[in-house]
This record gives sequence, C-alpha cells and structure tokens, in this order.
Amino acid sequence: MQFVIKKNELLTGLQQIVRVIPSRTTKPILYGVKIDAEFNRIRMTAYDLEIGLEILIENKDQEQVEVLQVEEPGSIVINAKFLLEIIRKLPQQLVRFNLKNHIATIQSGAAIYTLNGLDSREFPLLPQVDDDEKLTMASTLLLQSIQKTVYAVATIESRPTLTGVHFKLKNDILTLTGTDSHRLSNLKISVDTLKEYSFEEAIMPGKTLQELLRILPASEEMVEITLADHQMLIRYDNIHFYSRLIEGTYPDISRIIPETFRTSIKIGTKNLIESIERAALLARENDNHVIRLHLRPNQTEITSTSQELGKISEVIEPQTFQGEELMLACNARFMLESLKTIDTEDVSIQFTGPGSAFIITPVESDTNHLQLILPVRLNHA
Amino acid sequence: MDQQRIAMRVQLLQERIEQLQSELQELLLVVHDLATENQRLSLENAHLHERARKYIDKQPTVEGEAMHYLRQLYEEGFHICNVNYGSLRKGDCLFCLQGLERV
Ligand SMILES: [Zn+2]
Repeated sequence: MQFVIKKNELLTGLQQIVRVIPSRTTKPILYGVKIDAEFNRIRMTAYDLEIGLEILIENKDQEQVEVLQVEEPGSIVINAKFLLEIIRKLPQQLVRFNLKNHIATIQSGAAIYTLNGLDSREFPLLPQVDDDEKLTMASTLLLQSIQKTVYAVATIESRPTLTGVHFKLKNDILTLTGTDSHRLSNLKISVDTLKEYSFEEAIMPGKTLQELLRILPASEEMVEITLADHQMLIRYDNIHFYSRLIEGTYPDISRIIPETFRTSIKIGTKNLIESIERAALLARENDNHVIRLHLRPNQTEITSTSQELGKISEVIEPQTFQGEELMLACNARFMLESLKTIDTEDVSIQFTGPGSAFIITPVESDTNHLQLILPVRLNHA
Repeated sequence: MDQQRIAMRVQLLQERIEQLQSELQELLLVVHDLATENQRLSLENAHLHERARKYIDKQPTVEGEAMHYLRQLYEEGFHICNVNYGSLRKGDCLFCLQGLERV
C-alpha cells in the first residue's frame, strides 16, 4: 500500500472517525481505523459493532487540486486516536503512507513515523444494507427533527425500546416519537418518497442519533436514509453512517395524548424559558427539579422553594388564557428541554389537571410538533 | 467612664446583638417554614379540589376489582403498563396513567 494525501483531508476524516472509536472494548482491533487504499480513493472505517462510520476520500472531478494519489492499493488497521494525534502534528501539507508487513510508515517533510498496524482481515465487516430504497431529506431537516425528539428518550430503562426514537413512515408523512414514559415528543414532517417505500417503522438508538447530531452538517444538501431489518445506513456526501436498530415493538402512543383541556395559555417562549431557568436555580436542590406553575387569567406565576436557599417567584403575563385557574408542580428540566425545541415566538400549553399530562406546541408554526409532560404529584400520601 | 467599664458595656452590647441575631434567624426559619407549608397546603387544596371535581364529574364509574388492584399496585410504586410492566417506577408514568384513565 502506498499513497500520498493532503493532510487536511485526512485530518477532517479522522476527527469524525475517532467519535465512533470505543473508549473501552475487549477487542483491541476496534480501537483502530481501517484504512483501505483503493484504485483512486481512500476508505476509512471505524466500527464498534453498534455504530459504524465510513469516510471516503477521493479526488472530485470538478476540483482542480488533487487531494489524493494512490500508488499501490492495500489495507491496514491503525490505532485511530494515536494516528489522529500524529497527523495533527505533521509539519507539511502532504502526507505519504507506506505499508510493508503490517508496518506503516508515515512521512511528511522531514518527519517520519513508523507504526505497527493490525491485519485488516481481523477487522469486523460493516453490516450489509441493501440501499435500493432510500428516504431522502435535507440534512438540516433531519438534524432538527432529531433534536426535537431525541432529548425525550429514556437513558436508563429496563425496556430498550424507549431508549430510541421511533420513526414511522406512512403516506409520505414521517413521524418521530421519543418518550421516557414521563414525557414525550412527537413530530410529523412531510417527506418525498420517490417510489413505494416498504419501510414502515424503526427504532433508532438515542446514542446513534446523538452521534448523528455531531456528524451531520446543518445544510440543505440531501441525506439518504436506508432502513433494513436490523440496520440502518445514512449517507451524506462522502460519509456513510451505519447503526444497529433497536428491536421490539414501540408502544402505541395515540391513546395517551389528551384531547380535552381545562386550561390553555399562549405565552412568550423566551420569557417562559428564562423565568423557569431562574426558578430552576432553587429547584436543583430537590430530586425532581420541582417548580410550581400557578395559572391565573392574567398571570402565569412560576415559583420554586428550597429549604436552605429560600424562594423564587415570578409572574409573566400570558398572551392568552382560556379556561379555569389551575396550579400544578412540574419538573423544571423537563420543561426547559421541551421549551428549547420550540422555535416560535409564542408557545401554547394546554393543561388537563394537576395530575394529568399537559401538551406543549409551537404557536403559528408549520411544524407539527407535540410535546407531552406529566406534572409531579406532591401529595403522595 | 474608665476603660474597663466601657469594654464591659461593649461586650454586653455585643452579646445582646448576638442574641437578637440568633432570635432573628430562628424567626426567619419559622417564617420560611410557614411559607413552605402554606404553599404545600394550597397545592394540596388545589389537588383536593381536583379530586372532588373528578368525584362529582365522574359519577361512580364501574371500577372492577382488577382495576382497583392495579391502581393499588401503581400507588405502591410499580408500573402496571405493558411498556414497563412490573418494574419499579420513579415518578408517574404516561402509559400506566393511560391504563388507569387519569391522563
Ligand atoms: Zn408504566
């Protein structure tokens, strides 16, 4: 194997790759990045058996400057974090790779490194995902959709299904749902499926989606999503992102969304967020980050008390108020995480009672986004 | 006044101030406790109102023995929903409450 490559191309790729490298594993080869020099491109692969990432580096036709020259194909596995450190510190813009008997020589200017590699035949193969059927959408839309739902998934749960976001496709509407059974986020977006798409639903691991949030850029360029039986593949530009899917049946959520309300308010999103943030300063002390909401016709009062520190109370005037006066307690963190996904000026909150879930939706938005939070019951006697 | 007497008076004064301060602290704590208690009571009051309301609104629904048993299990801190069935719950659960028709 022998090739010359631009340092920056390699660096950008490796920086993405190391995100997938496990911090602890019983299989040392998984600390490695597999580098394949093919006819006119380099393929870098990291795979922790759950999430796989493949990055291709090649000369693009439209580009005048060559980023890569493969002189002799080959393949090797090198410790990814170590390689990244080395590449980062190289003095020159060009890097020459040489491989002989599992020993890689990396040369840039006067600097020469000799690294022991591992046999790439030992490296696990990425899952085979048949990509005949793809769902495409703008990268930024996928990012926003994930952000608006993944925060609500369970982090520790005896039931793995709740640790992922449920994707469901029906009649060109993609529905994403995340819930930890105390709160829920449900988002519907329209997508174009060019042909009859057989994929109906899948549960994507929360961890996978958090990684995607870091890897995908907020651009209008298209992302291709392919879902197979237990695996998914997401392609963006020269990045191929693989992940295992969560098996199991996702719970039916249609029946837990309340339809009649006792009290409804519309209120400035930013004001409410800031006020809850202040109240949360005291609520940090208690287990559930409990704050209290007192809804009155012209006043929404937010209070929190702490035995040691005292009390915070703040009043905001809602834009509109409908229904009856109501008082309830809720988890400040849950409120904030929900409200921060709202990108409209005002937010609508509809309450059924102090012991029943309330609904948060954006006001005057094209986005069909519904969030549900259960209040905290304090009279547990 | 000689210096010794002044010193003594200063000391006495200081002691009185300290005593007043600790009394003040105690009172502040009492005030705080009362305020917290007040808030708790008004919240409880609101909850009771809520319950009374439901009680009146609902007219006695036919709540079979099974339902009663499930509700009891739930109140004792277990999930009764098919999502998390049998596991200990931390806080209320959307799926359980849906089963109990409280959502
Ligand atoms: Zn439950």
